[in-house]
Amino acid sequence: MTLRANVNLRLGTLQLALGLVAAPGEVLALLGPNGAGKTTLLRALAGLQPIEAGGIELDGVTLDSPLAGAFVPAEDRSVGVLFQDYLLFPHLSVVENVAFGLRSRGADQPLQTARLWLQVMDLDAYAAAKPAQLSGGQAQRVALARALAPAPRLLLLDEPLAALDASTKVAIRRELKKHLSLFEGICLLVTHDPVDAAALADAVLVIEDGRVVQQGKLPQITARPRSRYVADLVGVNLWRGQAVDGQVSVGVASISAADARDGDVFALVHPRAVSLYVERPDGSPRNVWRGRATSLDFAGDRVRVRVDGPVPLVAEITSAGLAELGLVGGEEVWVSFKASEVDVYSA
Amino acid sequence: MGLVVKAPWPEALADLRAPESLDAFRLSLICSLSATAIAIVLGVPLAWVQARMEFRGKNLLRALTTLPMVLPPVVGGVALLLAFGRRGLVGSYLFDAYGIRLPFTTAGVILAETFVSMPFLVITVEAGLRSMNRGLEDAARTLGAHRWTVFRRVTVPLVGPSIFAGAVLCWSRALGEFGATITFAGNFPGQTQTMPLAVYLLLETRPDAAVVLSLVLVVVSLIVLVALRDRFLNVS
Repeated sequence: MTLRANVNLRLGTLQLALGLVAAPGEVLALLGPNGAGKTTLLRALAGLQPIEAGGIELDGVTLDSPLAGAFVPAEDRSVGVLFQDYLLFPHLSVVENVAFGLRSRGADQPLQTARLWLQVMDLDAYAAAKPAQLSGGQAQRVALARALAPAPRLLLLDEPLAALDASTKVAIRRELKKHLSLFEGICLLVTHDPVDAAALADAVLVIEDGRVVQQGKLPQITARPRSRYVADLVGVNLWRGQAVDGQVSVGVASISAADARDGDVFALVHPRAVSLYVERPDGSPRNVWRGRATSLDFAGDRVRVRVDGPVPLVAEITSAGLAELGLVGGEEVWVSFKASEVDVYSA
Repeated sequence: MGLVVKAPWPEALADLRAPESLDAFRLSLICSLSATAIAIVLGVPLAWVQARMEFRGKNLLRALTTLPMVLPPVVGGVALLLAFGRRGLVGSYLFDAYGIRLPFTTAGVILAETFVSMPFLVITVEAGLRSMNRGLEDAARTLGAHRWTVFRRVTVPLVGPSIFAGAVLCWSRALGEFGATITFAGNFPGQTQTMPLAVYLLLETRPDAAVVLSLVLVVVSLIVLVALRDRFLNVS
């Protein structure tokens, strides 16, 4: 039982071209910014959006193959979808919502099975209620029960926690993790929140502009970001450039790095390794330049200062350090960091 | 108000009980309700096709659907005569093959009223379908519902209020239909003479009775509008 997909399609300005493989019992997170094509990918897997090239195969059965002229429509795929806004049927009661898939797939005693699912989700009391009477978390559990009830082999979750407010998110995330761990099929989770990916998924696929830019376990991905998106998520400075003799050229400037192998590389510097000065600093740091402090972000007793210059970057200093510098934003400052603080890895 | 003042109240009841008035009233109800039923059966799928499918000639179909709305009803009646008359394109075939004659019959009244009033239903339902959340239909499909099941269990219940509103518009238009009916079906008491036709005829001979009949139409329309208002408020 495996999902193999090689999805190529164009939708408006989005060009989707990516491949993925997922095994049963595994939760694979598709992490990426808005507009990266995550939802379109889910729609292609669900059969709501035909692909233009490539193929989708579940358990050795071809679901979509433009070359072979094969296409299994959504209603005939063993796929359950938890939509971003849940899309519960407003005119049906909760139990009828859960029974919907069982009825259309011709299951025996759909209502009884639906009631069992409501018990599993701890929602028996709401069987007769209409979706409009439910809280966000309850609606999400009904939508999950509805997707799981017909026992799909592939479960697709589209931003399952995005519609919830922060105060309930933690409890509902824990709840969702429990239900996902009981699911025996293949599970794909779309999210733009790395916290969801870390909590719910076994492996992560980072998607940007319709392409996979990085994949693996989340700690590996965040330790060695390979895109601006992941770098921003983690909060580090990341540049891509050509390394020659310990110098990484980034745009018009270059950065000195202690152990850079020649070639196309990523250079990573943690904001905490960057120091700011009012006067030009003396001493050993090789990377020194002048820039303008454009914005200040306070987080606890630390401050992230964005500095524009030959190489724009973010420095993280203490609020005491900020007071010493007397920065309020807009001033010229000196930036410096050691060559040994630059982590270089091949692109 | 003018009707109420002018109404000759003492003779009103007698006029209402006159057989021709009762016939006209009965015929109006039967024909307008039949026309509405036919419009629902044909119009809802037509609206669905126009709202959901992409095909060549869709604009032409939409133009044809709404044509009876802008056409003077008399012209519609003439068109119906040309199509369904004894020597008409469809009419001659119907008569030769099945012995069915539509013009100047009660069925002809229903056809004329359907022709004129159905666009109101189609347009209302199509607008309802367009404003409906398509995602719900997608959700139903991922739950294994085939096209007909989606239509029956999700689409129709969700556009129910639009179908209802469209049916009401359609019915009121059919009830007041005059031009196409008199052109295509004539004015035979008991067979094709509906209320508006009776009012028109009585105006020449017995204006008082015409006023009473008009008043009945006003009252029926008012009752329906008030009842619907409550219904709509309950829905929302």
